[in-house]
Amino acid sequence: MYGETSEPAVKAGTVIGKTAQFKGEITGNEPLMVKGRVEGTIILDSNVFVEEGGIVQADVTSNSITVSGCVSGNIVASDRAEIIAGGMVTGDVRAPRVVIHDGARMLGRVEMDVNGVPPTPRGDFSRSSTLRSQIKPAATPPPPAPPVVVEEKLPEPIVHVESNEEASNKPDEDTDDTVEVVEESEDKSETRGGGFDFLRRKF
Amino acid sequence: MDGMEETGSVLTERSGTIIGKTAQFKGEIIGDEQLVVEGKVEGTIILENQVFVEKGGIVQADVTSQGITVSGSVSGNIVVSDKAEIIAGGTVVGDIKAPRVVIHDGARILGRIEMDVTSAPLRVR
Repeated sequence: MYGETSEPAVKAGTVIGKTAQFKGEITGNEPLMVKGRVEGTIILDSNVFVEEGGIVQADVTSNSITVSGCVSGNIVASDRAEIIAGGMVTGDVRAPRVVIHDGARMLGRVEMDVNGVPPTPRGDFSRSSTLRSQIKPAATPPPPAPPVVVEEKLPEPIVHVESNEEASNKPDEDTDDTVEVVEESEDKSETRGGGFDFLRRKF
Repeated sequence: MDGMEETGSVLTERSGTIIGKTAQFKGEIIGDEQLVVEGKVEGTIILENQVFVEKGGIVQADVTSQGITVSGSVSGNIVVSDKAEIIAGGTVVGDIKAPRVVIHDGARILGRIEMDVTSAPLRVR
């Protein structure tokens, strides 16, 4: 869950290296970069990057997720989910902002806030909250804490989506595209509570 | 609903169907010319060509076409043989089935997206 060693300038988080396989649950609040393989559950109060060649077979709950690799599982992002060209998602995606680039592939349901106001730029959530109260007075807003349990959130059939997710947005959470990659950092990706039968290393 | 006027829309030179800004159309549109919706369409759209739902345009219809570009609002299921694209500001409520689906930042969608995830990666351009 840490990894600030060799990248002083970058806010580095967890990196699952190319040859690493991780099984279990990843929780925390630092960015996660997956270049190898993750099975289980990912719950992060930060950004998730599934790099090209990375494979995630897990439900993902995070601030944002950027997929250049392959994700099989449901995604709940409080800010943004993005699928880059070459990336693939099989599963449902729920986020205020979902971006799918040309060349990306997806099979599943996409849920954004359609009934409410247009997606707000980062940091401006006052408008949406006032409008939300006007539009949906009966809607009970959820607690602002980020969602914790993935399994209960997605399978329920949702006919319409209120602009609830925006309540838990963190305006200061910005793009962390520059998270550096440490090849040997598989051993940093250990988390407590994860049944990681971890890593056949190649070297 | 036929027009070649320079309405400032995507359609400048080519012929095709335009549902003008103040027009409301109810029924079925079938053809192989492109369609530009600036007004409102209810019913069914089946075209072997491109469908453009312009900003302010409202489509409450199932759309089957070669491609669709949504800057306005579509309520209904979309099946295209090539590419479905939702521009920022565009809204789709319904399912989309297409080999290529592009959703820009600022677009909104509620529904299922079906692309072919079993074959080799798509070649873009």
